[in-house]
Amino acid sequence: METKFDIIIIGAGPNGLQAGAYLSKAGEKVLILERRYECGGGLWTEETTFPGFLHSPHAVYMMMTDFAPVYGDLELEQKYGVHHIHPDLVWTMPFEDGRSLCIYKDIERTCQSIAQFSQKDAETYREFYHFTKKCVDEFIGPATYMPPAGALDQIVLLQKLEFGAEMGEWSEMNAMEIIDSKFENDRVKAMILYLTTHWGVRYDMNALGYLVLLYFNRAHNYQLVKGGSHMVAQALNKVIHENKGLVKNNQRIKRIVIEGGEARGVEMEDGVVYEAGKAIISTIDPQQTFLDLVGEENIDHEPLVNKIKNWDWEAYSLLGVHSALNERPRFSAAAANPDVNNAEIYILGYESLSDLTDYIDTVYDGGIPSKLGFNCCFPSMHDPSLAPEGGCVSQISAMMPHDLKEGGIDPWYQYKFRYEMADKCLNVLERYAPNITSDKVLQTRISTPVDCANMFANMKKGSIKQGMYQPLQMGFLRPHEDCSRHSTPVKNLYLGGSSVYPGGCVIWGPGYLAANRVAEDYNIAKWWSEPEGVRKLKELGF
Amino acid sequence: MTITQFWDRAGKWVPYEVAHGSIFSEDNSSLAFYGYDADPDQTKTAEQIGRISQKDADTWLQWYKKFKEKIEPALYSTIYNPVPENGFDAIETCYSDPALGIEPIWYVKSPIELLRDMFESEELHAHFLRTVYAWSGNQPIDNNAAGLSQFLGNFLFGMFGAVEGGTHDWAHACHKIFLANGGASFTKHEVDQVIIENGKATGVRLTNGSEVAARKLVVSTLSPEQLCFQLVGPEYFEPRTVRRIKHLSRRHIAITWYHWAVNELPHYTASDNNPVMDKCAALNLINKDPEALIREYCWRRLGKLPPELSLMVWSQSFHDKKRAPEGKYIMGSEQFVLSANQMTPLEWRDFKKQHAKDVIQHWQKFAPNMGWDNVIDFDPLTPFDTLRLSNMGPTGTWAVIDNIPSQMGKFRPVPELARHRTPVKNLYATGSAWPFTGCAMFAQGYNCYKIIAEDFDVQKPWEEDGRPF
Repeated sequence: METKFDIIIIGAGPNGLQAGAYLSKAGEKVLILERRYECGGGLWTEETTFPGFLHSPHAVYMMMTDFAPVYGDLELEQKYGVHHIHPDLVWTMPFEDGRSLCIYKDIERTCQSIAQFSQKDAETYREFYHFTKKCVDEFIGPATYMPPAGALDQIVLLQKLEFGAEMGEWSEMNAMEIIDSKFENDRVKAMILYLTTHWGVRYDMNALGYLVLLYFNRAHNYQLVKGGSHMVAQALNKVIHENKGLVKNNQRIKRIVIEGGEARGVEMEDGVVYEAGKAIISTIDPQQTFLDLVGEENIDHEPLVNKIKNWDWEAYSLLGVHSALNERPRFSAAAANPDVNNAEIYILGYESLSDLTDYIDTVYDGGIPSKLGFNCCFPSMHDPSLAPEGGCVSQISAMMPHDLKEGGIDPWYQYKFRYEMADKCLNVLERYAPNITSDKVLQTRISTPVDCANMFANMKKGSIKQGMYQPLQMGFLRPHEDCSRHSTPVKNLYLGGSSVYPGGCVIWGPGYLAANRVAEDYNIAKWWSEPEGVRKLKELGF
Repeated sequence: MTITQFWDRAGKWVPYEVAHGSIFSEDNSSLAFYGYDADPDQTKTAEQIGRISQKDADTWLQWYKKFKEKIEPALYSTIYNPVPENGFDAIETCYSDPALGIEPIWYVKSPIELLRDMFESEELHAHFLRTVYAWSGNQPIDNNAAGLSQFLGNFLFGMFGAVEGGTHDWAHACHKIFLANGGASFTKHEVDQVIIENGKATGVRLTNGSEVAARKLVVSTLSPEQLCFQLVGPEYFEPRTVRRIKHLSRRHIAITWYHWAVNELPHYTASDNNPVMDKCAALNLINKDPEALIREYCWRRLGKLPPELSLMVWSQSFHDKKRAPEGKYIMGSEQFVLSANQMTPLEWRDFKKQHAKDVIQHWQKFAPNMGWDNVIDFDPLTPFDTLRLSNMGPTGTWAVIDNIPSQMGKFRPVPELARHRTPVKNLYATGSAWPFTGCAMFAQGYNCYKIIAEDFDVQKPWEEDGRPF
């Protein structure tokens, strides 16, 4: 058995595969150790319901395809057939009175939709969109693929950008303050609040405003992977093995071997030790990495240990209801705007801003909202290869607590409770799309927050981003100021998962930056070139 | 690919301690067979059988000895070599050894007839019938000449076990080696036809119209029907071969495999008297009367769902903690039902739900804690779901074609195709419909490669020292 490698990567999720692909293509002998039977982590696609219905039960939307270097560098489209689908109508929020709000790829059509609710909000939306576009195009987007600057440095450097001062001001605010200050219509506010916070940005938490700018802009750019999300994981897996890398599945790690304060290898539960001649990159969460695998006795850095011990997990996870339908939904709101029947993503169940905030407050408190709401999509409407002719793949994704105030995690282990929840969600869908009655549902599979945690070991408490988005866990503080630039106080140990800058949601940042950092530290020749946007920021002093 | 390369990438094979057994509904009596790793001389198994019949226990031990000494080596040699062009294969030669004591009439007896010849107790008859039924779903009655092969097939269940981490791990291992050696694979690329020029296969045409050229050869792993009628065209085959392919039997192995996530493992009341039953890997929850399985088979032949279940259940969680979260478990259940094309999709939808209820109701009679409160979730796999794999269509037969005597070994799928060559030069065929039988035993692809190695100058790893085949 081969046991000596240059680089060992823990975790074959999007970031682990990405780092492995870059480094194996650079000629390094790479080993990736993965706990699951399959590679890709959340990039997971399976026929989980009826034959021929391909569901992607976890990661569905790619938001950063226009910035992430991985696509071009590894020629994922040209050589490996990774294609994205970007429907004209990206988001819609139908209401029970037959009206709807629509976010199109096209900003003008979006503003026309908003104008039906408020002309003033439509104009504000246009103006704010162009502002956020500048912020994202010239700073947030490229900065996702370069190491983070310290807070003070960043404030100084932002002043060099035309929009920097204003962006800095918005960044200090919370989502609700931003939305309240810009928009007047209750439903417009509800939709924008959902779009800018549903990945786990608490609406009243200050100093996360830059995420609001990012998500506001990215709302126009949610893309589906043709054939299902796993197609990207397949492509990266091929790059690794073509370059003599090795991914081992079903692996159980006992510890990271530390000798003389340096990470030297990985010991498995069955006693096998894999040696890393150069680096170990962990893409799993910081508690497992530092406390379980390294051991605090091997970390000469008390503040880091304390911070990791007190790491904040997300307050909620996601409840997925995945169904095979024997016809596509027809929404009542399509009578007024036929486009509604062809949207990529739907926000259902929230008729007002207070519906949404009540829902979020209940979930943050560990409760199950009495009035359910969620986003849902029907990927096969845009990619017919995902379902048999006439059939439709349906995915509902609802914010939901991992630990329930009543019963803890136990109810998630009860078949009756699980499928009562599924039925309640499907009833909401039927309210907005009356043709989706129970006889149109061929089969349903539920994925609960506890299922998430069990399937993906790094998603502790169902955490979809390896840790809450809060100011002390973001930017150069993610997970700690001494390891947010991907090296750690433990020599040879690097971080490359969602718990490190820039964060989660398959944005292809952490793995890329970890690979870059390892290449720089070990004089590995980079076969890839620096992205143009990154080069420009560096010229400005970033 | 070397053996080392494979095991470097693949999960371990974990044999089960208690390989198979039965609990009988009439009186909750039970019977267990230990795996050969845990009980290499089968004395523990003989004790179990002796609870019912000492004479049958002695018979089992006699046949186990014959199996290990003579039959097993011959069987492996048969499985991992291409079928002979002429004459007998290793297992047929073995059968003619007088030391085995195979009586001529056994070649033509049905499974139930043979079992009644060999064993005196109904429990043994019912147990062996149901256990090996899992492999073939063949009729237990009438003169189908399946008795001998099915009886001996029972011995393979003593090696029952699981791939650590799941069977997909082994597919991954092969794929990784394939990629590392310059192979390229493309999912969601459906092949429509083999391109044939001057009688030679030169590539494939995809359903999207694009073509891929093959410098040397093309291998099909689709069904014989797909090979003949879609990929190549019947005009390339002899008319009799076309008729044979058209009428291949593919309706017996129509099963449900429900995968259950449970909060606790079932506790069988039978284990109060026979504690080993709680850790029995493949466990039949059946009627003591072997005619019950015969009735089930007859219902299926009539195109009707059997009113009584002959359930087999198992749990990979016994030996593989990687299969479930800590403190939780996975289980499986198997019931033979109708072919996929005997019900409509909507009927399958309704059946899936009803069958789950029927399985739990049946299971709970044997293990009172196995009620819906214990269930976290389940994945209902039926013959209809098996249509996910097009080569198993249109019937959803798990082995692509049935494992009946006329479609086994050198006759599989038809004698003229059994050595993997086809009437089209440079086109080879393999898959579960090829020898020895339809099971994931890594034989069909291996033997196809051996034939290719006769025709092309490629590596022959089986010629390395110390390898038996």
